Amino acid sequence: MTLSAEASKVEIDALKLSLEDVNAKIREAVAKGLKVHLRNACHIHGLAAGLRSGEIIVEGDAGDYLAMLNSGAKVIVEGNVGDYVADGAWSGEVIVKGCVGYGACMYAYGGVLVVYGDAGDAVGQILKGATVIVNGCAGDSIGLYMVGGDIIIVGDAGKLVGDWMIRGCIYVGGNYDSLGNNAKETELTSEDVNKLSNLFSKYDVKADPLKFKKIVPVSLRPFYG
Amino acid sequence: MSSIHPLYAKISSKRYSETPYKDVWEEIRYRAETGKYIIRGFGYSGRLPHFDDLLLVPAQLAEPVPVDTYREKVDTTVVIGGGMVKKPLKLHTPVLIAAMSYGATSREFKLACAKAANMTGTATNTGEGGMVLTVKDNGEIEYTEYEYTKPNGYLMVQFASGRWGVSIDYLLNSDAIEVKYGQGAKPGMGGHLLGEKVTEEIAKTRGIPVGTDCLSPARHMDIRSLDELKKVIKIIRDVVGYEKPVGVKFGPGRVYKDVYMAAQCDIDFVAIDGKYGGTGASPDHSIQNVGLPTIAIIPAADRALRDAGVRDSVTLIVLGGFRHGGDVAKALALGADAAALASAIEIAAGCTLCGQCTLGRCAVGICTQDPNLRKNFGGGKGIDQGALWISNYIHAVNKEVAQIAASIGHKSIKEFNREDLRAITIEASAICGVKLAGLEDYVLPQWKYF
Repeated sequence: MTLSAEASKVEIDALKLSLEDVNAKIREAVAKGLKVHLRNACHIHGLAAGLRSGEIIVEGDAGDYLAMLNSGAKVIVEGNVGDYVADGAWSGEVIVKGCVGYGACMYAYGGVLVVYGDAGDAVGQILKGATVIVNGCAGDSIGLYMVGGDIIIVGDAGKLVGDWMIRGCIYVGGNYDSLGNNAKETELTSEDVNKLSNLFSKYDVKADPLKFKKIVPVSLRPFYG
Repeated sequence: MSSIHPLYAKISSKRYSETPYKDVWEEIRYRAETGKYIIRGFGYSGRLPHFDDLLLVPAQLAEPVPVDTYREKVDTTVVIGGGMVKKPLKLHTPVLIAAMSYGATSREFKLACAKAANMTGTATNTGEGGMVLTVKDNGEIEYTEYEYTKPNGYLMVQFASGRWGVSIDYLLNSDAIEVKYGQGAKPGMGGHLLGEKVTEEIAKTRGIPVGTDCLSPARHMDIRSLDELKKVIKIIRDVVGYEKPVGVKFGPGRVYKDVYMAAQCDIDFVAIDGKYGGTGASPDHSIQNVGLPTIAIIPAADRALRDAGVRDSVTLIVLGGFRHGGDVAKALALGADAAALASAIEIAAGCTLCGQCTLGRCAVGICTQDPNLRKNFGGGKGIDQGALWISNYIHAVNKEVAQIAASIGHKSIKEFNREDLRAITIEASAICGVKLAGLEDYVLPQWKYF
């Protein structure tokens, strides 16, 4: 770990480090109020997990479970990320400039995940309140069992969009292959358009909110009601 | 046209009275009239091979000699996470309070369990519905359930497939973390909490809107392989500073394979729930038909840990149908290190087996969120009374285990072994590899090699 010329920044080369070592260094730096720049971290699964604050910039790619249980940190990845990014997050921001794998932002209660590339299958499954923006396309089964939050796919989405969703909204800017059980398309409201406009403006997403399809649950009690 | 023989009515009536359909006539009519399957609380109803099919062998002239329980101490302590973590659980008893979720059960009951854990030096478990919290006037959150276990008790928290209320603070305000795969009453089905029980308080704890049905999926959406389980356990260890034991809980499925695989994941304990395991709400067809008897799962789990080479470092906790010290002692002799009790703890806290748990109308304030019914908890005297009943029960069961150990000649519960048992049915002998009483040998020769 080296303190860079900028006194507020710490550089970590994770090439020969374990999860325990890297996250300990990150926590130490964050506790001191320092910004963290990481490189060679693509073999680390669970990088920056459980952080309450701080800003972490990952040069290159990151592994699976990046920023799991995030509770306030801002994590920026210049490259691609593996599976389950921002898994179970509660707050904070995760920004991925490349693509992400399977299961982005599963279970997340809060915070924002922005993916500028594409996302794999299973985006936002059992999402509970977080906001997910995928600037590219997403795979199948996005929003399965979701109970809250927003999933915004600027490009196309695959099959079974919103399968068994109970609450929350899914917005798709392009086309999708099929809706899942208990999911239906509905009209955008002015609140939806404002929400999307604000998010697009904040995260520099070039898309027209008016062209999005909105998907919501049919029934609030699809299982037992 | 021939006339009906005078004995025909009697014969046919007798045959009908003995048909296996007689006991399920109402159930068939219920399904026919509603088109629904039956959801209910509690566990398996009926007779399975159980601890009653086993008896313990007392010490006499042959070594070991009996321990005099009134003047010689029997060690009943159990350590979970001894070799691996900075803060292992050092329990005073092999009797733990099993996972019962907040939501399925009331705040008063959960806090009574936590308090009883403190009073007895054992561990209780949040279950999969998050932890009982208190939001103070200044907005600060107090982890009340955790606090109630202190200073002598421990709180395990569940990391289940619905991940309700699982945050970094939830994990940090715990003593151990249990990754739940299944439970005895509905293995392979995840978890269910009907929206009727999701009150404002439960909704806040689970982080969902009031009245939302809570479905915990049948499998973890973000753990789809053994490799991913390894990664997640490693991350959990990391976020809690490598301080707390981490384990896995299974329902009674392919026990040997499940446990052997889990043993590859750097765990501190494995918990397995047997067929008598209870529930707040499960489909009756699952409770009655899916899963294996508790006495069958223990030797298989024990063997898996041995074969994986981790038997000394991984604690085996067994659940499902424990009623008294005799059951616990038999489980320990079969290979378990500890037993976790749920139904018996509810009964100790006042449960009358009224069968209203699923509907949330529990008259004694245990399986309900109704503020008026919750006032009945502890016989109307509240958390302290409930905690006293539960702790009395655990103390009594612990004494029973110690006395049984002493009568067998053990100074520590760790000395229990399968030679302490004899089966009184061929089925029990065959299922769990215990010698048949009288025969003094295994009824299946295969057991000689395990």
